Amino acid sequence: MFPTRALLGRSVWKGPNIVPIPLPRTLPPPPNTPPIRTQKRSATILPNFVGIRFAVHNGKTYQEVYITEEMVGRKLGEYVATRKRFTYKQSKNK
Amino acid sequence: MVFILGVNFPERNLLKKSLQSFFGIGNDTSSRLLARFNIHPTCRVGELANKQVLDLTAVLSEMKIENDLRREVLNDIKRLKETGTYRGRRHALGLPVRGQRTRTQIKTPVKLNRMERRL
Repeated sequence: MFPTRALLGRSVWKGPNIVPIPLPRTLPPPPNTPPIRTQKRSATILPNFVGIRFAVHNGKTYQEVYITEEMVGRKLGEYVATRKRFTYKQSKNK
Repeated sequence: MVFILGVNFPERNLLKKSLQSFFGIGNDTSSRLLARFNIHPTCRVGELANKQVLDLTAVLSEMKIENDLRREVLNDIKRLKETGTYRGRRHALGLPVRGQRTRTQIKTPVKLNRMERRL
């Protein structure tokens, strides 16, 4: 029998990848607070992130992600795509 | 003909293979079930005693198989899509989900990964 991929992903002794991120003092943050800019795509989403807006780097720009309860335990980068979809560009000179 | 969990099996069929015809029961689970009720692995469906059939049906009805399991898998995929994860997006696009290469040989995910995955 094969263990789940969640178990295979990372050694247990390391624990989840907890990255120190400056969280707002009051939770949930008051409206009009700017989203937290971060490049730490591999940071595990912790339960105290719920209700916070993040601006996660996709390699070029920062995209906003609103953290909900279902996202806990996953990574920030999972919600921000790093690749563009292929679109055919017509060239003028053939 | 013997009824196991509402399905009719011909008497000459192997019991182990008959159990595997349920979605969610494979080689491992079916041999475990046989061992649990002290049935030998090459037993045919017709050789079962009446009580053994009832026992098997009782255990199978408590397991998560067939449509319950299908629904669970589909719900898991749907949840991935709704939260907007990379994996959910790959499911919706019909592309490999677990980081396989896509340069060649992606026939299986193209065939199976849909909005409602084929199971």
